[in-house]
Amino acid sequence: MEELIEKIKIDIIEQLNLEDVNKEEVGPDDLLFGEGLGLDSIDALELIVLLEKKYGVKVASPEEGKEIFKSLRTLAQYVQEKAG
Amino acid sequence: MDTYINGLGLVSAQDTLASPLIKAVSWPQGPIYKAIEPAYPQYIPARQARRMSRFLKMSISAAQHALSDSKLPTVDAIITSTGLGCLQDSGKFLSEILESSEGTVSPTAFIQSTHNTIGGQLALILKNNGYNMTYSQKGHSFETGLQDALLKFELGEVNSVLLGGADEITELSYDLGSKLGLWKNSIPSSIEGFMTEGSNKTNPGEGASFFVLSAHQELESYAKIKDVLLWNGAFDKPLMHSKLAAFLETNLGTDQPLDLCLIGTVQKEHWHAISEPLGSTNCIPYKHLTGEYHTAGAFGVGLGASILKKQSLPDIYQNNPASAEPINSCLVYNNYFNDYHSLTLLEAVEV
Repeated sequence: MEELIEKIKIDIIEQLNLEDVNKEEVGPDDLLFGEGLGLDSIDALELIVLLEKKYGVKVASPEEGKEIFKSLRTLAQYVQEKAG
Repeated sequence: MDTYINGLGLVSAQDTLASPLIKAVSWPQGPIYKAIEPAYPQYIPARQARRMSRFLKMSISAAQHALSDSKLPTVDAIITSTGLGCLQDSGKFLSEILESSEGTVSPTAFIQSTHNTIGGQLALILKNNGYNMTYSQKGHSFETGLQDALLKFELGEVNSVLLGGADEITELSYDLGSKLGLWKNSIPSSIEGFMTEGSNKTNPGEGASFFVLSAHQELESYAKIKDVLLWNGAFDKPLMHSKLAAFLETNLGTDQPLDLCLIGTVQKEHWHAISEPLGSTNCIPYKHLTGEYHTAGAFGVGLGASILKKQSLPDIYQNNPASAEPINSCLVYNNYFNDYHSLTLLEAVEV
């Protein structure tokens, strides 16, 4: 799981061009949106594309996105669950 | 109502952001004039820049430079112009649709692929809810935007306008232009080599030119914009002569001389048609500095305004006959692929 979290973290930083973010400072349970990493609604759409392209995982309902995109850990759990 | 240029930001193939009065021509290494990119963090915070394409960053930097130059925190209206818009993002978005067989594609490139992306981004950055318009009229895009700005001042609807013209060259647009036979393959290294007779084949370029226009003259004003005229049509010498004569008579009268003319063309026919009737007026070319793009005329206006402010020609024109001193009036003629002609008259401000 920790390995997958790390991989998703690197993919997100790269995909969203978060050049000002130090990857060591982003923890697995930090919030991705709002007060955490500060991502916004366009980033949410980019994350959906990322999950589909890189991990073959589709987010079917926008409602579940709220929970899935909470943190790197929830994202990794979802990927593991769907891909596994 | 008079309209003054009070701030200027030019991103081009020359080092014009540092100083529009360039000291030496940077000839391109290949057939394409690529713009010299500014140090973006100086103008755009990293978080804002992360989704922006190179073109968008160039344009926002030029606009921010112009605003800072004018010392105005914001403006009443934002008017941008572009011939082809955000090409890189448009290409990226369309390619992704093909590659994914119309599947899920990144939204960012799509959002930023529209022609009014620059105007929209500027409004967001400046938190500006004022009039926001983008003009895309091929080789008259910038001049049409300028006309709109002048009308806004004339009607008393605005006191300040951020006006810009920008276009980019991408690998895809260069390839498409090559297939259409638009470009020269040779690498330009002299004005003589750049301007040719009987052909409008050219070297493509790109750039972003932004102006802060104001109804009020300031101590640091560059110039006053007197008028702009545009017309379409293939090369027609008698027509060019009559347009030029009528424009100068309307704006300068019959006894006031024209001190300087900047000619932006790749065709020698246009050069002769404009310079010959002007007699002793000093005429200088500028398109060999930028290459050709839809909004290159904005560069000419920026260069003319800088010359009027400094009351001297850039070092690169030192071999030209000395211009009349002081330089009170400057005409900018721009031509885009033979069909798009424009005249913009600038006047020095009284200090």
